[in-house]
Amino acid sequence: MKLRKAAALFLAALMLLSLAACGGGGGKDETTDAVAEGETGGGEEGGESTGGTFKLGTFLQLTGANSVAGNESNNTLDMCIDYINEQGGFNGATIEKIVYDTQGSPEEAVKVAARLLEEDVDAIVGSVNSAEILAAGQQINDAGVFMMGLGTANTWMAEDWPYVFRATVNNANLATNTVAMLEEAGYTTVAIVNGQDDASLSTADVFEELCGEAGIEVLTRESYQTTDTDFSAQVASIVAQDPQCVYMTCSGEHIGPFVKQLRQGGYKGVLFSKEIMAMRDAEIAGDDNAKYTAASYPYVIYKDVESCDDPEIKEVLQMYVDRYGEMPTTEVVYRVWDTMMVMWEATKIAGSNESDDIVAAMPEVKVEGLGGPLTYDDGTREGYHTSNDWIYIGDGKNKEFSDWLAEDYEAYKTETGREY
Amino acid sequence: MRMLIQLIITGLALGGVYSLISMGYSLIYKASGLMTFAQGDILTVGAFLGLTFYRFLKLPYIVALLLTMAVAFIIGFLLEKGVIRKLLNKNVNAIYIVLATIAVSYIFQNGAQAIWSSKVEYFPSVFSTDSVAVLGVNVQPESLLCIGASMICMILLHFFMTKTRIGTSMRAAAMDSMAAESCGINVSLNTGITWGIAAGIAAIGGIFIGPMYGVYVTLGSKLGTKGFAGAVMGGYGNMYGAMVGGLLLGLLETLVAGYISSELRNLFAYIILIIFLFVKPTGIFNEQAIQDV
Amino acid sequence: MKNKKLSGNLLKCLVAVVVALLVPVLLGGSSYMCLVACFVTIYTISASGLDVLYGYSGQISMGHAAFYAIGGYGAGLLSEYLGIPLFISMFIAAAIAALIGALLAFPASKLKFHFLSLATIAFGEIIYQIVTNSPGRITGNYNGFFHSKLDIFGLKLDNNIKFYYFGLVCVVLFLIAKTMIVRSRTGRAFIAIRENTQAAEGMGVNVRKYKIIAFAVSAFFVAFAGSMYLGLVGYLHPDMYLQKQSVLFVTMMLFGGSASLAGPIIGAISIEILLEGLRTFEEYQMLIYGILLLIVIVAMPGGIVGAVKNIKAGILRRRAQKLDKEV
Repeated sequence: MKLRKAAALFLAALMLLSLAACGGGGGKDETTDAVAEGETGGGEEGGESTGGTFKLGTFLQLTGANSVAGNESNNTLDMCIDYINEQGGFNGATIEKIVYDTQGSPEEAVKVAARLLEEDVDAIVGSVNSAEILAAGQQINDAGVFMMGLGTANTWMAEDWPYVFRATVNNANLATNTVAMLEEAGYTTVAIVNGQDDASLSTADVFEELCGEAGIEVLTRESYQTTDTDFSAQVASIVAQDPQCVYMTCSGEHIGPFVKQLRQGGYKGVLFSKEIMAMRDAEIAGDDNAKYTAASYPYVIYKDVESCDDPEIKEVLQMYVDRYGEMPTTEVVYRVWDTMMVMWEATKIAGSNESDDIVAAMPEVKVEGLGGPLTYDDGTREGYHTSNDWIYIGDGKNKEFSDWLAEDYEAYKTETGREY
Repeated sequence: MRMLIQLIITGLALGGVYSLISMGYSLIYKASGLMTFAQGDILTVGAFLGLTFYRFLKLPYIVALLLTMAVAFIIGFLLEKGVIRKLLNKNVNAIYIVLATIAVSYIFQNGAQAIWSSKVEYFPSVFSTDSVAVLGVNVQPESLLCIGASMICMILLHFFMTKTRIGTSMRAAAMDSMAAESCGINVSLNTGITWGIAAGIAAIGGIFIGPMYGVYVTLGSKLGTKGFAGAVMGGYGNMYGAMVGGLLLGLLETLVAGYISSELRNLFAYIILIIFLFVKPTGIFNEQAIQDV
Repeated sequence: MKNKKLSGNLLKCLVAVVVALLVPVLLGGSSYMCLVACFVTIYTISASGLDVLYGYSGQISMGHAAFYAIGGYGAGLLSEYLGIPLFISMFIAAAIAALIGALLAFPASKLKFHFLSLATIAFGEIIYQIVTNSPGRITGNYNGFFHSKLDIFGLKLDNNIKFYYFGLVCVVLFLIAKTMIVRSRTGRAFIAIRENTQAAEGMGVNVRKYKIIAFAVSAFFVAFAGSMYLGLVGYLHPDMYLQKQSVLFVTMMLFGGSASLAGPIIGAISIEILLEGLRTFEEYQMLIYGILLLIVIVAMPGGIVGAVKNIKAGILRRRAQKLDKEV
């Protein structure tokens, strides 16, 4: 008993000493014998470095469900950082990325953010997962570090965090646009399907509320959970109600199977979505099934570089393909690109790499984003105030929604045999 | 009425997938009295392997299927030999074995991501048609394949366990390993084979559901947990029970989701599991637990 | 003689406490490391609670994240909707969790090992479902639940160092409680049940009653830890209460060594440091963690405390052999 206690104390003391050791070192630490030794602190002490290095911290979900967004963000960040560094970096400082995995857990995001702040990062690029931003945002804002999040939910921008901005679109705004699309097409009934993550849930809520105001009747609202793979019950319920259109806020790996099952269940109408149809999802759903999925979004995903008709996006995609040998499967590529361009512009205007100066310079930032203009002068800290409306017509192509309504709507009705 | 038929048929189809996983659990429990948390992630690995063989290496489907089963069998066998057997020999408390299988599941899941990718991969369907009409309801052909496969597995396994020498020696080893050893039964080899077979079943499940949902790293993990419910409902350790339990679970879950609320479906599945555990732990088929700890 | 031993142990405990008090100084006042230390206090209480359940009364639970959730959301909801200050609602929520634990244990106590773990897994999932689909969205579902940080009658714990000292006080109190329970008649009943349930029954121990008490106590510990988390971070999200979290608690308890006072402490500290240290591997963090975990389980199944015991036994054995040789 005594010896065990002594051993326990000794080990505890050892742990504490190694804690102290890794607490002292900044920057990246090497781990050798992780079990007994803990960390050996090694990096240089980070500090305010203008003209030296600009430490860009980021917390992303690199493992677990739907980690593809986090991984492609990570890849694009590397690509952007090299691109900007070749052109002088931020005010002459070389950008250095520090990334940690949140595993999709808000609890981990809190710890990771604390570690990034500890390593004295100059700015942070926040995760695609809105829940992680919600968890970590408070401490980042309190520390006065400039952050740009990659998520699209409206929830975390509603918090009073003056240091937090974004260059991605706001889902709530998209919901407004989507309701406008429904009105344009003359729909009066809709069924809603939402996923159970922060962005999907909040967007569906906003949409439902707006439908109420616009006089569009919501016949049923179904949901599923992130780990679900079978949607037959939701499909059966929707088909039984026969709405004129369906609005889905699904994400990641669910869009493909859901659309496939919905079509197989017999529903042939127009599907509105909070996200643009990705090629991978179209493949899984089956290209025919994926047709007539509409969304309001600044930009679309392309099947390959050749079929891309937007020159700026084409350049970015080509850069990605050259570097990684494959097409990105999500549109987070565009989000990260826009985010880095905005940050770059802000540092140029501010003439400094300090967070407070960057924040002060943001209202003057005007960047031509990949999906439209990005401006920050209205005090909402949001960049995108416009969007485009699209509908997927198969074979990797998206068409402008208004054009489609004018030109192809009758053909669609004949093909599906629907009244709407 | 049409909605009811649609729900029943798709519920059974989902249940077919659960059955395959439940069978693996019951098999391992029947043959070694242990619980494993790795089945769901072996399913994922099986799906990725099948994908590699069928789509990337362009092997014919049957070859890909058999190859995946073989690789999974080896993985299961090695798992038993390398991890489970070592722990059993050290006579540790069963919780360490459970924890070890959880660690293995982390390794499989993250290893799959490291080897393949975190993307959702497309598994081309082996059937030329996208959906098959059953009683006027459109079902994916792969679901019917799952139901068919679990039925075949159930019959084969039952036959194997009761009528063949290896199967009987496996059951003997599970009931009392010391007595079995003294009868000349190679307990270690038998348990290894069991785990290998269970892994093979899970891998088949993975290949079959791959075309339905795409292949990605968390494909199997939640199915793995639900598979427990199916196994318990039917009687933990009973092959018929696993099949029936899995189908029943899929059916009930889908009906609840369709008629009551889609949000409650998972809650319902776990409530059923807990009710069965409290009220009738021997399950529908009244399977007595082998080991009373 | 007995007095000497007691005072020896007491001395070691005091030394440990003094070292713990100096931790923020040793860590150089780093906010990140103090945050890790705060988490260690929370995890220590959780692992210790689980230890009462498994280490001492032999019941396995793979779903204790449910109580972590009940504690966190319970304290938050009581504070938000009934206006009870968080510091008090923490205790109330923990008491409610203990009650729920007892209710769960009532039917669960007759389940055998594997089935009990399945039941606890199911319970964990059920609580997760309730939290994500709460009636009237009171938990905020997937949008999460915000609450202001812990404020003890005006003393705001708004930085990590202050919270750490609060956490340390909680740890000491809970460990004292654990020691008292374990050394009491109740604790002896637990151990009797763990070693041989039938024999205990035969000796007149009311097995069911004590199993329920063990469950309730462990639920109280883990729920309080959950509400501590709310006080520390100020934000809860359902994804914190997945099965992974239950597994983490079990891992910490086993890694350090069950059925001991120091075991859960060591487990919490080492696993947390391990995870933080592995962060440098970015996307390979969890893979390496899984591999290391497996290696440790296979090589050192008794946990660190168990391994130390083996070393000590080995030393004593060799000493005895030497003495034998000399004679």
